[in-house]
Amino acid sequence: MNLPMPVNEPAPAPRRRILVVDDDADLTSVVRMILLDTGRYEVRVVNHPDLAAKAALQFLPHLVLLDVMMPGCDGGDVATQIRAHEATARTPIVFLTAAVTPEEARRGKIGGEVYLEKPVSREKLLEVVAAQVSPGAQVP
Amino acid sequence: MNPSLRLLCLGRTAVEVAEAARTRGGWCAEVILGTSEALADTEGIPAEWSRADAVVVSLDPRGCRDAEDLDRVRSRLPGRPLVAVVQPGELSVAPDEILRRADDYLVADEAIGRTLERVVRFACEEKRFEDSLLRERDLFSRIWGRLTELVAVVGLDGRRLYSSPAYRRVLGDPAALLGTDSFREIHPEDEGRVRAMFAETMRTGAGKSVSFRFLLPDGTVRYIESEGTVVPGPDGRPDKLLVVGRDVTERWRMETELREREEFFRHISEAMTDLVAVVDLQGRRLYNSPSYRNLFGAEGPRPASDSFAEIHPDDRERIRRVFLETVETGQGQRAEFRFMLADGRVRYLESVGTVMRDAEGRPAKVLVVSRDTTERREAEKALAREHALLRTLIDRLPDFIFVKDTRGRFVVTNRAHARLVGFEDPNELVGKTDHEVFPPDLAARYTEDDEAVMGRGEELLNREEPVRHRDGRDLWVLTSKVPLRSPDGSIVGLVGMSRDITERRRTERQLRESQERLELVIRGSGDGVWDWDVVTNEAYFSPWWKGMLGYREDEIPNTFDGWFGLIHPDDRERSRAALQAYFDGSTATYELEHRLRHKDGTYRWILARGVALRDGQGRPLRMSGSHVDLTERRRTEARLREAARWESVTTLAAGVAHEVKNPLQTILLGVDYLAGRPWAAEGDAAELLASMRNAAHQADTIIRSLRDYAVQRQPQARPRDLNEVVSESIALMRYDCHRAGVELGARLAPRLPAVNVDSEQLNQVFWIVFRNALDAMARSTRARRLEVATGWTAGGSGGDGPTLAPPSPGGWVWVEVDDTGHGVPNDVLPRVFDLFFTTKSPGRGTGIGLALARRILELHGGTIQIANRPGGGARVTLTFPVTEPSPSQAP
Repeated sequence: MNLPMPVNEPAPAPRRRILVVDDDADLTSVVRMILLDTGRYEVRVVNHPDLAAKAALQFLPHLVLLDVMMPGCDGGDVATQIRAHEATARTPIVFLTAAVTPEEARRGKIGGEVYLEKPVSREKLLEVVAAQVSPGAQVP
Repeated sequence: MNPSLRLLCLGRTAVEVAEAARTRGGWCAEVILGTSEALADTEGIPAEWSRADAVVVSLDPRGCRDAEDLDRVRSRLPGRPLVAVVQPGELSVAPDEILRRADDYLVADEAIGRTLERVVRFACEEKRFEDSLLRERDLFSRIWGRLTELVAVVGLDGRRLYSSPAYRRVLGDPAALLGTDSFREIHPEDEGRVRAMFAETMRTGAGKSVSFRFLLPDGTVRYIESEGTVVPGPDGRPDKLLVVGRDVTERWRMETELREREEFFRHISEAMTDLVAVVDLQGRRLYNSPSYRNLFGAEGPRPASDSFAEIHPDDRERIRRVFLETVETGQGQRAEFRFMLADGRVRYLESVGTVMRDAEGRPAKVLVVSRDTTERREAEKALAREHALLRTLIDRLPDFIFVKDTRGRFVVTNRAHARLVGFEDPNELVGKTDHEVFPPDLAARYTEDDEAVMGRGEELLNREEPVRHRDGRDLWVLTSKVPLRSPDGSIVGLVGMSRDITERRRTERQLRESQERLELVIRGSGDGVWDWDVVTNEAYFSPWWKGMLGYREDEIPNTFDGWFGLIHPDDRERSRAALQAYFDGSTATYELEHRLRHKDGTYRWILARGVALRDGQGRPLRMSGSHVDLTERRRTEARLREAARWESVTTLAAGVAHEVKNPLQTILLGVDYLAGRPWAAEGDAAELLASMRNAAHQADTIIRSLRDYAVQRQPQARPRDLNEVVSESIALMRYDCHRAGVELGARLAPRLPAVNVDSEQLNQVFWIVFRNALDAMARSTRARRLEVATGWTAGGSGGDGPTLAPPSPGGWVWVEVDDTGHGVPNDVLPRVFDLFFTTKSPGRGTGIGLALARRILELHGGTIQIANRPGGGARVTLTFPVTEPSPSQAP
C-alpha cells in the first residue's frame, strides 16, 4: 500500500490552515481534496455562509476561500462578519465568483479583494493560495 | 367795149383836159376833183380819191408844183397809173424828173380826147401787167424758195452750175456750191456707184433713180434719192444734167425705227404668254400671236377664220355683244369667256379689245389681248373651297378665334367669338376693336397684350384671363396670341384663340379644395395620398406622399414609374405581384408593405393601401390609396424585439453563469485532481480526463460570452479621437496577428473629429472584429493581411466613406477593417449579427461576438456592417456620429 507521505522526509513546515466557504458541497469537497493533496494545508469546509464567521474564529485560518454568491447571504457579507472579529480581521480572503465583468476579470480584484473566477484550474488555485499564505506574503 | 374809167384830177389844167376828154369821148365815167394841197397836212387821202382808177395831175399852183408833190401823190395812191399834164413852157420840173415819177406825161395841147384816153388806158394796162408780173415773180420765188427738192444743174465734167435754195439745208449756201464737184460730198462707199450711174445717164440720155449718202464735213450722214435728166445743148447732144434729188434721211430713219419696232414687237409677241390678236370688224382673224399655238396646236388658228367660232356657245353671244359695243363706242371692255379646245376641253380666257382706226379715224380693226385664266380660276376656286371649309370649321369651333390687324381691328372672327360679344354674324364684328365690344378695363388689358405680341413679335401662350360675355356672365378663357406675319416677315397683325375654361376652372377649384380637405385629413393621420389612372398610367402623388420620402412636389414624376422606380430592388417583384393579385381579384384588398428609397438614399418602410375603380368587366380603371411610413414603427418594433431578447438573455445569462459555473468548477477541479493520480498519468484515463477538461473549458467559454453579452451596461462615453482607440486595440492584437502569420496594416486619417465613445467597450468590439478576421484567414492560402483604416464624412450623405449610415448633422467617423479571408457567403450576410448565429465549427464560435459588437455600436448611436470586398475577403465598416460641440446644447 502506497502511503501518502514518505517516511524519511525532513520535518515538514507547519501546515497552513485554509477555510473553504461555499454552499456547493461537491465543489468544497474537490477543493479540500486538492488542497490536502499538496500536504501543505489543513482544510476546513463550511457549506453554509451563516457558519463561516464562527468557523473562522474557531479555526483561525491563514486564508479564507470564499464563494461570492450563496443563498441567503453573499460572500461580501461573510467577509464583513469575518473581519468584524479581532482574531480574523486580518485574515486574507480569496473570493471565488462566477459573476464578474470582463474588466474585473482582467484586474483580478473586486473592491480591492483578490478573487478567482470560476471555473479555476487546479494550478491557478494552488498558485493563488500559495501566494497568499507564503511566509513572505503580506499578512493582512 | 372798154369799161369807163374814173379819173382823179389834180390841178387846173388837168381838170380842163379831163373835162374836155369826158365831154368828147365818153370813155371817162367820172372826174374827181382835187388839189395836191389836200396832201400837205394830212396823212390820208380824201375818201372819194380811192375810187379813182388813174390819176391825172398838172404842174400848176393847184396841182403839183414840184417833184415832191409828185412823190407825195405817188406814195398816197400806189398802184394807180399817174399821168402828168404839162403846159408847154411851164415846165417847173425837168421832164426826166417827171418821167421818173409818173407813168407817162402829156403836153396840154396834145391832151385832147383820144390821146389822153390812150395814154391813160395804156398806163392802166401797163400798170396792171407790171403788178401781175410782180405778183407771179413773188409767188415763184416763194415756191422755189420753199421747195424741198434739191435741184441742181451739173455740167458734163460733174461741176455744179446751179443749186436750188433747198441745198442750203443740206450742204450750206447754194451760191457757194457754184462750180464745185458734185461728187465731192458723196459717201466714199457710194461714190463709184453714183459716178457709174451719172456716166450711164449721160450716155443713154435716160435718167435712173439712185440712192446714196452725203457724208458731211461734220460727220453726219444724209440719205439722198435723186434722178437725173439730160439737158441737150443747141446741137442736140447732151450738154448738162438736171438733177432732182430728195433728202430722205428722215424717212430712212423712220423706216429703220419702224423696222426695229416691228422686230421688237415680234419678239415680244413670240415671248408673251398673253394672246394677242387683230381681227377685222366682223371678228375675222387678221393676226394671231405665236402664243395662240397653246390653244390651237402647232398650226395656230386658220387665217381669216371667225374668231367667235371657238367660244363656248353659252358665252358666244355675250362676247359678240361686247365686241360690237367696243367697236361702236371705242371703249374696250374686259370680258371673260370659255374657249373650247379641239379636244373638247375648256379653257377660261379673259380678253380686252382696243379699236384700231384707219387714217380717217374710222374703226378698222380690233386688237384683242387675252389671257388664259384657267389656272387662276381653278386656284381661286380651290381657295374659295378652302376658305369655305375653314370658315365652316372655325364657325363650328366652340373656341373664340380672331385675327386682328396692327391697329387692333378684327379682321376675321368666328361665330363663337361673335356671339361672345353679342353678334350673330361674325362679319358684323369685322373692323371693330376690343374697346367697342368689351368693358374698358378688359379691353385695355387685351390691347396691352396685343401690343406686346405685335410690337415685339412675342408669342403669348396660354394666358388665363377674364372676359365678359354680352349676356353679363364673367368667363375665364385660356388665350394664346401669335403674331401674323406677311411673306416678307413683317408683322401685319395677330392670330388669337381663346378657350372657355370657366367650367374647368370651377371644377378644378372644387377638386382642389376637396383634394386639399382630403389631404389635410389624411395628412393629419400621417398618410400620403396617391391616385393612379391605370389606363393612361398618369398618377397623382400628394405633396405629403412625396414629402415623407424627402422629395419636393416637382422631384417625382407623376407616373406609375414615379412610384415603382423608388421601390427597393428586392421588393419590386413582390410589389408587382401584390398589385397584380389585387387586379386579378385573387386578393380582396390591396395592402403592401414595401421599402421606398428616400431622397437621402436610405429606404423607408411604407405601408400602401388602395382601392381600385373597375369597369363593367371588372378591369381596373384607376386606383387610389394611401401611404403610411412604417419605418419608425418598424424600428421601434425591432428595438423592442431586440430589447426583449437582450432582456431574456441577460436574465438567462446571469442565472446560468452562476448555476452552471459552480458545477463546472467542480468538474474541472475534479478532473485536475484525478489527472494528478499516478494511474491517470497516461493511457485511456489520461485521454478521457483531457477530453473532460476540454468540454469543461468549452462550456466555460459559452458561459463567459453569455455573461459578457448580458452584463452590457450603458457606455461611459466621452469625446475621444477614434484613432487612439483603434491604436490601442491594434496594439493588443499585434501578438495574435504575429502568431497567426497575419500582416497588420493601419491607415489612420489625420485630424478626425471627436466622437463620444466608451473606449473599453470599443476595445471589446475591435477585439471581436479582429478575432473574426483572424479566424476567417486561418485557412486562407492567400497572403494574410489585416488592414485597418479610419476616416470621416461630412454631414449629410455622400463623400467617400460608407453611405449606408443614417443621416448625422455633424457627419461620421468611420473605421474599416479589411481582411483577405474567405469572405462571407451572401446568404449568410443578413444574419451575421444575429445572436447565437455562427458559421464557425462547434467549439470555435458562440454566435455572440458580432451580436455584442452591434449592441455596443447601437448604444453608441453608430452602425456596424459587413460586406464582401470585390477583391476577396470581407470588410467590416463601423460608423460613429461626430460629436457636435454645439454651445446651444450646453445646459
